[in-house]
Amino acid sequence: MKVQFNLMQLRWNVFLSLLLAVIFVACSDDDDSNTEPAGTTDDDVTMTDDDASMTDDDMVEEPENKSSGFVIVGSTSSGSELVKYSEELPTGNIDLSDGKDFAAFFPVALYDNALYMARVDNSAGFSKVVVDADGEVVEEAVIPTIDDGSFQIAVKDSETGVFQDRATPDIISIFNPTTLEVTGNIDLSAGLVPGDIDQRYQRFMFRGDDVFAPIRGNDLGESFPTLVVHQGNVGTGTFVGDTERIGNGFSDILYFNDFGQNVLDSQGNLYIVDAGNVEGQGVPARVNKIPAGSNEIDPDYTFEPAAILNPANVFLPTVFTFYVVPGTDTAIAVVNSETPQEAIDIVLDAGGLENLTNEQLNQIFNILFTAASARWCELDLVNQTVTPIDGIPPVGVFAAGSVFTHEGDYFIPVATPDETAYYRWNATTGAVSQAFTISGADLVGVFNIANNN
Amino acid sequence: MKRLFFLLSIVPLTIFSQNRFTISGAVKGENGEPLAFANVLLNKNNKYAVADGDGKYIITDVRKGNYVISVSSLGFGTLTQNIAVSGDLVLDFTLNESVQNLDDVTVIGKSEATKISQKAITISSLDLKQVADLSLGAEEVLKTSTGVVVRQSGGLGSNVNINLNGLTGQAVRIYYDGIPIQVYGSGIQLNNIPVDALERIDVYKGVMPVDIGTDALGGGINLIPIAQNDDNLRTSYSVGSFNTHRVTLNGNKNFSDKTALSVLSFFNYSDNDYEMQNIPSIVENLDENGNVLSVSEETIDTDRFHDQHTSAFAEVALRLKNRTWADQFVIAASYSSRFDEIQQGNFIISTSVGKAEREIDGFNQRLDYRKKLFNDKAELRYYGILSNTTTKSNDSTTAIYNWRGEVLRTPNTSGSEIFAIPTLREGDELGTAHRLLFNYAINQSLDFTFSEFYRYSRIKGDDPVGNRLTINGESIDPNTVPSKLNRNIIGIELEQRLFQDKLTAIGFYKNYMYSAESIDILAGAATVLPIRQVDDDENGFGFALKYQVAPAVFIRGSFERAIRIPTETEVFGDFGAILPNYELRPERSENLNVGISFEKGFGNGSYASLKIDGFIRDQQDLIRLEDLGPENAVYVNEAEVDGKGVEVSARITPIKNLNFSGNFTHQSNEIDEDGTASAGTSEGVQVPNIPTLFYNIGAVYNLNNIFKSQNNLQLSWTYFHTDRFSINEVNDLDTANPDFVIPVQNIHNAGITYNIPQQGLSFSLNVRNIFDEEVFDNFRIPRPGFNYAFKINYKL
Repeated sequence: MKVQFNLMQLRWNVFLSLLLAVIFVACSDDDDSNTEPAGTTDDDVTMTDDDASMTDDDMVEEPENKSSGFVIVGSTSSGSELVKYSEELPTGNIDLSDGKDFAAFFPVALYDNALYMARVDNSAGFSKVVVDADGEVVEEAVIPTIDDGSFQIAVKDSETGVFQDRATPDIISIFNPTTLEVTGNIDLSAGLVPGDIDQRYQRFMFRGDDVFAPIRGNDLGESFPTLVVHQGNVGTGTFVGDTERIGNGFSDILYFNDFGQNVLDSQGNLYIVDAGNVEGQGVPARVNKIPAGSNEIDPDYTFEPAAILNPANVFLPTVFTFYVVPGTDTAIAVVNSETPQEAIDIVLDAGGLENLTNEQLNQIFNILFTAASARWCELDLVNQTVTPIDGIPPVGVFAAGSVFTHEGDYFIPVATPDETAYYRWNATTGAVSQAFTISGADLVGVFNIANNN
Repeated sequence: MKRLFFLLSIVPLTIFSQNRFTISGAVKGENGEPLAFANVLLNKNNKYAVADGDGKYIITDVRKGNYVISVSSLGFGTLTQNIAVSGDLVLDFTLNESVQNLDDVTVIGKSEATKISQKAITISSLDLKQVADLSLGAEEVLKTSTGVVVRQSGGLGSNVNINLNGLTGQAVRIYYDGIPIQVYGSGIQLNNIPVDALERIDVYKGVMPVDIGTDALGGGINLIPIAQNDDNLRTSYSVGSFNTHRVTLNGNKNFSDKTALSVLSFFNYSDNDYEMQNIPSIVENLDENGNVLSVSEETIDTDRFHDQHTSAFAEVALRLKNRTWADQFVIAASYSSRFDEIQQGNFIISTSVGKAEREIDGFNQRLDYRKKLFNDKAELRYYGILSNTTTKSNDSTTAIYNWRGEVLRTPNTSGSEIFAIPTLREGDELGTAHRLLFNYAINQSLDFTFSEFYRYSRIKGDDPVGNRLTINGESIDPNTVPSKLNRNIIGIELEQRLFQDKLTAIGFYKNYMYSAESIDILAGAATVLPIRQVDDDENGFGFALKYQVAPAVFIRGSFERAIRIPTETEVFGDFGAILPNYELRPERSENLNVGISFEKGFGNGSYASLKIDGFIRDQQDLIRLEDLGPENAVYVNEAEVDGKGVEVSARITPIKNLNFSGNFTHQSNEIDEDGTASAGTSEGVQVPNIPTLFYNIGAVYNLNNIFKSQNNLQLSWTYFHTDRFSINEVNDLDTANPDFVIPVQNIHNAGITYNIPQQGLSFSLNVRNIFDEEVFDNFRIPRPGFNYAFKINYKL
């Protein structure tokens, strides 16, 4: 086990360091030069045959991992991922075709310059991935799990994070992101689960020591007619409660996992955005608000961006990739806006919605899921308004990529059949420009490792 | 199963037992020089011998009767003579040097495999008579062919994946006696047929003749069961590593020249408990209260513990021959059964599978009718099979196992190990296939062939714990709704021979029609049971040319525009994450082969052959799984792949009794169009997880008259080399992430066989992976290290 090995290695390193320190003290003429650098490992020490001749020059400090730069990730047509590191903000075109290959690479959290994700070799568990001093993207350590479908991990700070091993549906585990040591578990079995089936957690969102987690069915990813959120506390390791968003009583409401922790506004309100119903049953995606100081979804806050942007969009009024701009009351999200003419034609040919056959419905959803019919929008979370960001091309509502920030600007992914690029957006001035393009693989995302989540 | 094993063991040997005699002697030329490799052939029962380096030959197991014996050798005239056999005979022959130029002499006595390998269409035919005494499975012999990669997910009986010229999966079809092996209902598969049960394996590369082909995109592999013409009984038993036992029993009894009864059977058992090295295994860490706090991984060497395989097959055939209404009419019934424990999923993770298993039972009936017509100018063959197969899958448990075979404290909340949810599915498949073949010799140099192949299957079952669909408020088990599949493939072929048969030209056309019917799983809101039907009609064609440049040299080329019909899962989805695509088109490939062959005997037993073949594949509309929305996927036609490669096969006999062979393959399969969102991102990149370079070298040395006159000892050695390759899509192996590169693999196998022909006995010992190398197969699944098998064969 890599974690165990690393811990043992750490102890061995401490022993070696102490031993070397003793030798060094014994051999050195300078009694003041024996301070051991913190975090020294085996590789930090170069031993010569003649220990007696050891000097300061023999102590080689391990180069530190990169603390800034950008990790660019894309998928190949065969399902593996290609990854590149760029020390500076990418410009021009980034060709991923000669990137480092991994069997999987889908980051869901970023903290202290490390990316956290399901294991990069498709084994069961989670990987902590860093960029080493040579600029190589490497798996530094792992947290094994029993279930190889475990996929959700989140980091609160340098000391605390949570993940779920789907082999234990009622339990989430608390771990230390620095050491990857598991420090405890929270039993959430008291939480509401419609149908009393096993649940999986789609995402973990922190507000202080509280962690909020929307659920879905564990085995088949079942959805429920309400959005149910469980709450635990990582400080006490206990279940706190649950809350739900009520739908129309019969249509499933979906929740898709998302990257990072950008879910709190300037007032400490927490936003959980569901996808609504994606089967054309007329339940729009909603931005749900858990007000600061409350643990319940505010039933009076019914911000439905897709319904606002285009009330006629009844087939797929959904929202994806939600990102609250830190310290503000504004969010960025992909909001589906148009119903493609191709889909409308099918409805007209059928003589109305009520006459659609199953095959025609399938055709419509194939179109809706793939057409560039959505817009990157700025959401005013207070006034509940939706404003498309001019200059950023339309995208598919489920298009890949995650938002990152750099030098105060926002970098927004645009992955369409015509281009794969990131656009730079200045929220203050509204200026938009294409920052760089990506080729050689289908975009997964770009991650600024200098930024926490 | 035990009863079947017992049955196989006690088949009354006496009914086959009768007097057998030996014909032996020497063949020499007019000057008294021994004629090594002279062919001595009897006109009945497929009896023949090839003279050794001293010109000596021996034909064993000859029944009493009258025969015509033919003796021939390269550069000498053929001698024929009537003989009566009522006891052991010693016959010496002297052949006259042919007045013909040496180059014009037609070598007779070619094996069927050799004849097939020399056809205009590129075929590699593996003659299994040479290895019948060894304890091998068909899949192991197949590895020695050029262009073929055989991968398995475990030991004996484990899933086999064939990669033929870079194409794999559904693109390569497996046939048993010319009929798609699936029709036999999974009871017999490539992974459980011992070599004793087969006459040969024909590997069709890219181009399939109309009398075999169905809808194979990249070729096919035809397993030919042993021919049973003369009276015989042959049985074998082998025991080997991992508690592996294999038994075969084959025989034929001619009650007259018009009626015969034959049996073909085998039984396999193995624990498959071979050691795997460096396997991650989960460990639970407990807190002070004994509860699981966390889990960790340890890396261990461990034995597989849940991979038992048992399979059996028995067929009894009544053969009516030489009738006015039929040259041959065979009616046969067979029963097959197999049981497999499942040890892991597609690749190794830190937990293992300790409970899941599968059982298949099949009952087949077949007819084979052959009749020559119009003064033997035409031949009609009809082959039909009806099969009933029951498949039971059990993936239902509350336990989770690690690789030490221990049950974890953490319960299995999903209730299953392989599938997402538990299954106790029992499926019944009714299958039938019919092939009608008609050959007509329009004149001495022009042949016409017509082939009609029809297949129907109907699958229905139930799963008491499986997924349910709600139709009009009623919960429906989708397994209870029958899925039906109809395929009809018609082919016509013309073969023209010109310039004294030096030039052979073949042209063919195929028409593919299919229809499939299944429940429409997307119709959740339907008020009546939604049944969906798809159908299509496609055409393919091809041609082949062969020119005999010299008696020892020919060149050939062939082309086919091949079609592969989508599978039911590809069209109808999997009742889960994969959604249907009723518009899915068949895959297409344009396959071109060119080759040159040299084969020559040099006298004194020396012989050499060299075959060099190249291939080009232009594959279009390849079906790939594409994400649809965040959580679903659908099969689409988008990918294109360009394949090309060269294969070299050589056989050399430099001195008496010593043979060398080598098979080399270098291939490239580049993605031409990937069909991804940002189209073209993978262009020019190798399709991952396919070796590009592999070869094998073998040597066989025969020693005669060891310990006793006429007893033979055969020593064999084979070396397999597979170059490194990545399981990921990478531009350059040198810069690829080494964590995902399958390293170079070298495997050495050896065998020794002692043959006592007078008593019909032979003993063999096979040793595989002699140097206990760490070898892998699909997705880095470890394969067995050093292992052995001892086999005894007895022939009456």
